[in-house]
Amino acid sequence: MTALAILVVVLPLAPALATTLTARARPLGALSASSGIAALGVAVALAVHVGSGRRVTALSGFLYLDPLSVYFLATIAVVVALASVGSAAYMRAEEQRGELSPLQVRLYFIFFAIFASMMLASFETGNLGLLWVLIEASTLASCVLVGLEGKSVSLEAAWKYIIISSFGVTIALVGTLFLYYAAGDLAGSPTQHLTWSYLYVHAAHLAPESLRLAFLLALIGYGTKVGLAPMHTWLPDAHSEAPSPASAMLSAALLNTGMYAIIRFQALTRGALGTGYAAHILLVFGFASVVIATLFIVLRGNYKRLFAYSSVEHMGIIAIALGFGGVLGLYGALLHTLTHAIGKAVLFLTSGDLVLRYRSRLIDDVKGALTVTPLTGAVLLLAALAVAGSPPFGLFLSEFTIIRAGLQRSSIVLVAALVVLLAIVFIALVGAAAGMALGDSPDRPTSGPAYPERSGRVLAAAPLIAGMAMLLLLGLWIPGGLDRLIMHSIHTIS
Amino acid sequence: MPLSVVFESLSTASPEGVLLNIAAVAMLLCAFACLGSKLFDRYVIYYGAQSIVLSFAAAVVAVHEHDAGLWVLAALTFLIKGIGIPYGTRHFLIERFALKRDVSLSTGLSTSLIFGAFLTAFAFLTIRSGTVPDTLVARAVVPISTAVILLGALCMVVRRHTIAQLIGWLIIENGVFLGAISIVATFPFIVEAGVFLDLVAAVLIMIAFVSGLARQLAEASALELRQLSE
Amino acid sequence: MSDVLQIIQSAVVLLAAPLYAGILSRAEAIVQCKRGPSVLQPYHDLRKLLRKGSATSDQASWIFHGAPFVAFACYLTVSAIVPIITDEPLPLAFLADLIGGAFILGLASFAISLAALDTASPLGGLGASRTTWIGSFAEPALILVFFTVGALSHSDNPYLENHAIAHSGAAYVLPTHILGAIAFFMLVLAENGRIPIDNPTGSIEISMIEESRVLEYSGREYALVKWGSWMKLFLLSSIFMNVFVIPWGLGNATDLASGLLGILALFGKLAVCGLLIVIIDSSFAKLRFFRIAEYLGAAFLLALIGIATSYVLGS
Repeated sequence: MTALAILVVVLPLAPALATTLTARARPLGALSASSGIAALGVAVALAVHVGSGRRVTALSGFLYLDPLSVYFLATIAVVVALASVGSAAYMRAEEQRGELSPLQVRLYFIFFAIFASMMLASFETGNLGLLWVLIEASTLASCVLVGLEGKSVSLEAAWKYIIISSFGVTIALVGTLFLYYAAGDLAGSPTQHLTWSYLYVHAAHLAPESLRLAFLLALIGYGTKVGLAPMHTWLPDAHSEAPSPASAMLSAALLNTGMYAIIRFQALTRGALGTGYAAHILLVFGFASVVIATLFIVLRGNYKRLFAYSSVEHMGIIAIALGFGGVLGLYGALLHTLTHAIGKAVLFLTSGDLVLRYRSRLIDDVKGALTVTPLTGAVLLLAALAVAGSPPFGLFLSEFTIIRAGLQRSSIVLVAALVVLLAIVFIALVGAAAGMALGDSPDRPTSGPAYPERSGRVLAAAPLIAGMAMLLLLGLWIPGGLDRLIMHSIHTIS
Repeated sequence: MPLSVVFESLSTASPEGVLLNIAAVAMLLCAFACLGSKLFDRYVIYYGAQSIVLSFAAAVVAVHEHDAGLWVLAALTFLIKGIGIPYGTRHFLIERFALKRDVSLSTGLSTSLIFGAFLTAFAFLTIRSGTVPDTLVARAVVPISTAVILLGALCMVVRRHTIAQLIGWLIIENGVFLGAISIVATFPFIVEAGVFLDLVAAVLIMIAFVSGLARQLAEASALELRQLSE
Repeated sequence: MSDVLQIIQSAVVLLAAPLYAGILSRAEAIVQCKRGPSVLQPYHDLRKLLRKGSATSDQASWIFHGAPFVAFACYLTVSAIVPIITDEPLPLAFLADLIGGAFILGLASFAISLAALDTASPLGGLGASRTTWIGSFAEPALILVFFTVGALSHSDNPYLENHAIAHSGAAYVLPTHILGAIAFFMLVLAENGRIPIDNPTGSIEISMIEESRVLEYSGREYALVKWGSWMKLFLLSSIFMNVFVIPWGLGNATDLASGLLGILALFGKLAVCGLLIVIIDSSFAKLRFFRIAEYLGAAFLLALIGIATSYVLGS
């Protein structure tokens, strides 16, 4: 089991090693895609093994797997697989257009690999300090991807991203320190005082004052990473400036990494502080995110920014679900993590195709995508519907579960407000996507097909179709194995 | 089973406690000096001085705890934060792009110093609650480290120049480190080392970004961020 | 016996202040590789000025003539109430605490400023407005410094503050005390018009601050003004040393011999303080006028941080 756990982290690094041999996007992309898919396979194997409620602990808690961690591991592995196939197509197209130098191609594959590997690794550690280190490392790797194009705008976005998120995770480090301090009176070695499983067992004996501060700081810190308002300001810039497969990774994977840390901290507060404290804070930040994201989604402008604000909104929804709590709330939160990750990965990958095709990131410049690139246009429309929460896709089911949880455990006013906000987002998001997909072919000539080669078209289409298929499947039927995995995950944290 | 006290923070009266307290105040003053300065050279000098004081504080705690890991951290702090980063910033950014005076301040120096004084008072007033027992020197040092963190944040907020923001973040990091060694001296070494590694990687990436931006914008003195809004 | 000591204390201030100033200017000259005047030069100056008649502007009113006496009286009063040679209050110490002492010094400065305005000389007005401007920054900082020592001793009585610090090693090394001491020293320099606020040996009227207020004086009145300013330097240096830096070695209020020993100790301490002043005078340049606010702001900040630190420790 330990070997598999290490393998899943090491596999995505293969393209980084291969960059010493070549700087061509074609072999690197192929290697990246195949290693991403292989990592997904290993992650699924781990999920099947650990998902039945088992726990794996090794290296004095530095390596730790429980159902919750393998659930996130598998979710992120899906995103990594989709994004690495997508980046194989995208980077090849960019290279052929001469947009990227060999050095940039190299850097892209190196840091994409480190980014993926660090994120996957962060789910495999039970040590909250190491978790911090790995999340910060994944942030740093993703910063390089954001600034990759080297234009002053993208460097500026990358700078904003690195500064704000480094500041944020520094606060999370202070939170971790206070957690460690809160555990000061427990027996056990210093290392155990940062080990989640140990702390969880002794959660009732943590010093409440310090624990309260620890949770608040960790929420603000990791919330910066998650993109909870008002710490979300870096997110639209970074997402709109990064190469599209990297945006997909940021939005669908990195944000969830932060959320995972918040879930772990939340579980620790229950023993000494009860459920109310963490729930209230999460509800406040969650609603703030949904409201602010809604305001910006209504503004039409850059479609990658639009999708980025949609991520803020969905992260807010997950925070609200965690705030509602209960089995239903947690179920909704976890399911929504998965469905949103797939939906947003697909949406950002289509945006990559649109950028290549239209050479513009403005909604108003993109028209008639359905006639210009039928597949991309169709997926854009469907994925926007899915992300906006329409049936029969997975996000409808997860949002519905969250609303049920809210009705069960919280006031009707909150739920009604949430439903109104979701309706506004639905209209704005689907409206924008419809404007881009439908309509006449564009006023200005487009710059030729996005992917000149047939193999490139296949590579680009594969993740889109696979992702939409998964979303549809999750909307119609939740496999028994997945259901069991989610239930076991809920048991590990409540 | 008796609860074993895993760490002993320094007490107020012990000689190490006194030294730690004074070092913390010196770090706070360095943060203020940074906030009250306009020259890029000075930022770096004050940051270096602060880091050296921090490494001294870490050594003081290491003496008390007899902890080899802390000695290593003290040495690393001295070499990397005290010498390496200031030298790197100066050599690769300030001298290379001939930066002199920071002109992109959003408030005047005196105003930001006054804000800083308020933040310090705020830190002292809020961290007074019962989180840390009276007898420990951490009770004095934790508010100071909070104040250092807030001052670093203030530095990042009132200054739009990238180098000033970089230094502001590094000051925050120093503040966190100071708080860490004063309340939880026995933080596992592997984690501390990982934190350190991240810090170094972050600084390298930031230096690369800043020099990229400087080359892009040609006029290096206008290293302000203003293109992205909304 | 304490009455005798009271007289001795004021006499020491009165008589030794010119010597202190003379030693400072001699030492400064030596540091700058010059010969410098004799250390007794201030006494010669006083003797000469006291013998001379004075020429005053026909615009000057009684304020101009009265101000030197008021200022001199103020300094003499302060010399009676602060710990200079004994660490116990002498009979007249009830007159004022530290804050009261600061008010009396402020009165002296106010009188001189009024006199400078009185003659309607442009340079006098300039000096008066500059000094007042500096004072408006220095005085809040001074009050805060008194609070830092007050936080340690729970008192604003200089004698109790001296005791609190002298009898506790822990209090001596507290950041509150150290920061308060640094801030006070910065204010001593500012109050006496030393570098980096003002150049005491400067002779360019347009850039003078302290000196330009007294340009109109001559003869006997000028002697009083000069003597007063030397006493001010002597007094503030003694407070700095006796309350903040070396609170030991003061005499007993009831024992003449220990009081006399206290005088010797005082001279030793002032030598240290003088050395500090000389080092600063010769290694820094005068600040640009509008940066003086930053200098005094720094003193304010140091004192503020000092108070904040004491607040948390609850000492």
